[in-house]
Amino acid sequence: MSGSPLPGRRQRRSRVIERPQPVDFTAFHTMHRGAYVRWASLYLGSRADAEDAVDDAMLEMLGKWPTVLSKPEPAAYAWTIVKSRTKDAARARDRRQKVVTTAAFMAACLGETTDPIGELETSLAIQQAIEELPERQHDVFVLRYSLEYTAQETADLLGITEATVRSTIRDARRRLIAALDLD
Amino acid sequence: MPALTSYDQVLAKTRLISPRYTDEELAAAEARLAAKAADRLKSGALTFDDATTPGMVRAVRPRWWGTGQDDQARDRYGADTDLRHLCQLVISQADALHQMSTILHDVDCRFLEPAGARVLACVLYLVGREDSARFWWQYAAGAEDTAATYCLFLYHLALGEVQEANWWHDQVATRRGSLLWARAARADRYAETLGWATCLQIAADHKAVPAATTAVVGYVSTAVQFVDDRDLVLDLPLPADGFAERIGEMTTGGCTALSVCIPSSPC
Repeated sequence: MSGSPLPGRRQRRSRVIERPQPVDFTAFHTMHRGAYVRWASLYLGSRADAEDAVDDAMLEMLGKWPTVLSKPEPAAYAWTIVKSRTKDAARARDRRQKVVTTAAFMAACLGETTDPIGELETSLAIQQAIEELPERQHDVFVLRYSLEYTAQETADLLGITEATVRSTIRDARRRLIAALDLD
Repeated sequence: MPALTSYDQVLAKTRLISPRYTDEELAAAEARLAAKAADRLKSGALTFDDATTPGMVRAVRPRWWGTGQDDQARDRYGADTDLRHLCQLVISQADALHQMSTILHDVDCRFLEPAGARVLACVLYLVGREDSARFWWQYAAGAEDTAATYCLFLYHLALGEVQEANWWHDQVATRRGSLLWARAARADRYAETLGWATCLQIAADHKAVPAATTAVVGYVSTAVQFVDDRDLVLDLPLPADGFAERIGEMTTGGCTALSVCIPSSPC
């Protein structure tokens, strides 16, 4: 066989080398782990359980790191793995109900209120509305407002652009205003 | 339930209590992840894509992986092999023989440089003089010589003396001011030691052991004997008289191969 039998392969290799995302697993782990654990904690109600779930996710990524890097947006693919392992852990431990109440309780505790039961009810209503957001809107909203990452940090974590974060937040805002019957 | 009137109120109540991830948590997570990776490799629960780079696999896979032996036997097997490799690297460094000849010159005045002690120890280990090697490693490690300390880590691991091995390893960590290793798993200590050895290999530019060094190794095996030091009431593994001159002859081109430079024979 003559000529150039592997043009596609050559092109692909060069693309990987030029990719701006971190190619080193350790660096990726260092950069993302904190956010992954904080996010998973909300859904598992326990930092220790979240650490375990993120460990599982990171080991899965480690086993197929070249595949992760070959994706158009490695961070987006990694995020799906983290969510998947977190959901597995929640399912295995039947934490769904606890998740909602825990998150709502934490939110309620934040405010100085004379009506804690009422505040808890309000928080539950908000959490319910957030839970019912479409998946992308939900993830962006929780990272941006519940965990208080900047728009750029949220974009980096989800493997999307900052502009997409902003437009997704606008969509989520419209939905929440409608769901909670706000002015 | 109090009425919500604005989106800003919603945002205020959405903010959750979730402490930031600390450097300490991250350090602990890294050590735990490395240990889990090693365990899962061992049990077959973790496999790698074919395209996974060898370097990455090495980073999480202990050297004893794949030997089919139990944990302790793996450590012994791997540590012995890795210690020999590390010793080869130490004596392959460009100025290794010069450092060793310096220590030999200084024996009489009892002021010995740790670098020379480290090289002498590695030479002695490679020729099967383990007790003598340990003595000089300990001497060098006591003077904060990192290479000698790592050698002692591997040496004790090869003997199945895990506590002693970890103690020596952690001397390096303590000197660096890192408390992380106090909680580290054995596999992490091992990986860190090998990582350091790899750096040494890169520094040595993967060159083979020089012929003169090979010749010296053969000579040292018999020229270092235990000498009863009456002042210290100790048996010290010290070189014979004229040792330094002999090493000097060898390293200046007098000998090029072990076969022509057997111990106690004219070169």
